Amino acid sequence: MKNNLQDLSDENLLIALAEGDEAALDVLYLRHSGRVLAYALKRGLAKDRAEDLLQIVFMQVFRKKHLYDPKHRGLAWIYVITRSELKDYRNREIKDFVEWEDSLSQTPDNSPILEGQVVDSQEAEALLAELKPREQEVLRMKYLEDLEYDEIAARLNESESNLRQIVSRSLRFLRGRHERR
Amino acid sequence: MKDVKKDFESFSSVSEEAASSAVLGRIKNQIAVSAPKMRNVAVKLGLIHLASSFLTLLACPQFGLRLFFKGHGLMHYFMQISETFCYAFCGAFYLAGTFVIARMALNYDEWLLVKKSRTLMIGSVAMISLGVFTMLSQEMSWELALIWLFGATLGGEFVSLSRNEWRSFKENLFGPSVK
Repeated sequence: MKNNLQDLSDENLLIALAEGDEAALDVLYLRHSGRVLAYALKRGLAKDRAEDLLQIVFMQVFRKKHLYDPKHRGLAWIYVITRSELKDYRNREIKDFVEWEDSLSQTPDNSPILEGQVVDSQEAEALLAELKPREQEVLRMKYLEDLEYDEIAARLNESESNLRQIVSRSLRFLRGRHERR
Repeated sequence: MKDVKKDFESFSSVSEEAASSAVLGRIKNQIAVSAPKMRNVAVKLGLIHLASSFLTLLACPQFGLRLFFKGHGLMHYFMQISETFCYAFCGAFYLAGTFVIARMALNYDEWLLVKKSRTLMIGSVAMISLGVFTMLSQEMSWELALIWLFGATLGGEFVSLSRNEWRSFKENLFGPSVK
């Protein structure tokens, strides 16, 4: 059966998936994961986040398997899911980022806070120690030295968008750590 | 609209190697974690069968057992064809009811699990029901039970068919449809 799946069209693979043949998802992944990943990378996502998105897209292909209409091309179905998930992913990131920027701007000393809690510089250093060296450096410049993105970009020879991604990712990581405590 | 078309063209024109198998592994794990458990689905199907039995027995007596009505209900019409047809159709009606409701009440992955083991599910539900009817009914006989079981199995199987299986079934029976 698994060998036969390789010969099926995308449309028939999606039908097989909808009928409970989970091996069809493997074949779809082999055929289209590179395409989805390239699409995400081309639209500015860093590799780890592009892989996050890839995982989300194929989970959605799996979850929405019963909604696929064989009248439409299988590839178009995967494209629609990819496009829509990329949009949602970006919206979530922007929302996270804005929330954090807001909470940070409300602190008197501009040091990182978690859930409204003011963290002194020692605590900030302890928090930063949980990050990778590059992320520590960027966050230290942004929040302890109070530099703007263009200034950090010039110092580190990085693009501003990349720096924003590093900051957003690091804050999300720290918040996750804090919530687990 | 034009942009979407262009975007899709650029999406479909990419011919990249498959991405890391680690991501596929994570997807598989996530699917495994969220997959419905057979035991839970069996319990749900049991509850659905109880509710469906209640509704069915309001309209169609099974081996003389009925709820809240007198007379023969649907059995009156089935009996006009033949007794054999009546018992087979009562079985089909009884089990089809359960599986139609299950199809609507269970989520898609739970329904797929029922379908994957449908021979076992249909057999179990039919045999348990038959056991209960044997205990409660005076009209039970081996012949009638077998005919009823035949109808019940057919009814359960038919309503469990997917669109695709229906299409194949019709094509096998009448040949491919011409559009």
